[in-house]
Amino acid sequence: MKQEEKILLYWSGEADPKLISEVKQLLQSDSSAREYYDELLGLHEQLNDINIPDRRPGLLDEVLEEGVAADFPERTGKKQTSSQGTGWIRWKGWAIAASVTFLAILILTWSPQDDKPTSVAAPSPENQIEKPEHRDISATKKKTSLSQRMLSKSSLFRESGKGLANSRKERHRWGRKRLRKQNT
Amino acid sequence: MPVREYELIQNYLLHKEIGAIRELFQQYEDKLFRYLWQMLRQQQDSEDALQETFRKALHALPKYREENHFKSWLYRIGHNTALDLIRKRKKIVEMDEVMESGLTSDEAGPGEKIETRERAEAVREAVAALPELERDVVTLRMQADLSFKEIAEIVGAPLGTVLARMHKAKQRLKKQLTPIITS
Repeated sequence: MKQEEKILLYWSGEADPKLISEVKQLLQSDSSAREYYDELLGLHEQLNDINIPDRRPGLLDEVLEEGVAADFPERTGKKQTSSQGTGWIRWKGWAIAASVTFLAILILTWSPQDDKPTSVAAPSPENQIEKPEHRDISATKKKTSLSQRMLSKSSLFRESGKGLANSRKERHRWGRKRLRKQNT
Repeated sequence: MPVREYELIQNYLLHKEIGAIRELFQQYEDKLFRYLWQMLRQQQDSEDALQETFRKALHALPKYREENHFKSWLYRIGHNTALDLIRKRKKIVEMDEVMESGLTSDEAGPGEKIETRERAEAVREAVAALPELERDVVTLRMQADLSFKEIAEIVGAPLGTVLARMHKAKQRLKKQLTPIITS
């Protein structure tokens, strides 16, 4: 390696310990080597003094805004299928569970058992409370009569044409009315 | 590659943290712009080249390998972008623009200001007059503070060649600048 190359590597901080000690000795003993090194330092200083015009602010932000907006949808897609695979399965599981629950509720609501007296009383909290005074005969009577009442009013619901929600509401309203009547 | 740089890249790629990539690019923004300005010698071109460099780096980031040196990788993109721009626009270094681009020192007195300005202009002229390959090495080393090994990666030349170019450039600059600086 030539002498100037050794000095250049020393100046740039790339010399290994062996080369560092070699160049240090050279700089002390050889005036031309010392001069070469000083010239490098001087030149570096002068070049750093060159004033570069100020650049327009926000150059980087502009790039980041447009670049990230363009890149992320693609990366998000990859993320869902690869690195976040378990998360995707979890969400799918929740969706299936929710669908099953909804279907179960729907089936229970529309079940033919609706017409039976025992299942009619179940959804209403008021009907679930078993009052001691009505425990025996009156409970059976209440359920039976409620069912009968419902059947008898079914034509009204068909007439209103508002569907299931309306019919259930009506049934509960009639149930509550009947309970109050019985209690009094 | 420094651990911090690797973390920032991973945070951006995996967690979409825009702040991470901003922090990483900001570390090199000033010096990269200086380097591009030295290559292109025109404000608008340098700004365009800086943006294009970041844009290309952003898109190429998923392909970036950990074993690469990020700084050299980014500067190589910047170097090639500037070269493309020069080729496309058939750019000729216009020293008139360089002269007009302004150099002021508020701290210096009137006489001192002129002297500093003249000297700086002389240095700029001398650097601009260097052969392209030598100018690249000088600018990357002295203004962008890159090591010779990094410069070798960027310009795609062996380390010995880069050192030889630097030596030649230094001798040329000395020849041109000594009469001005000593006068």
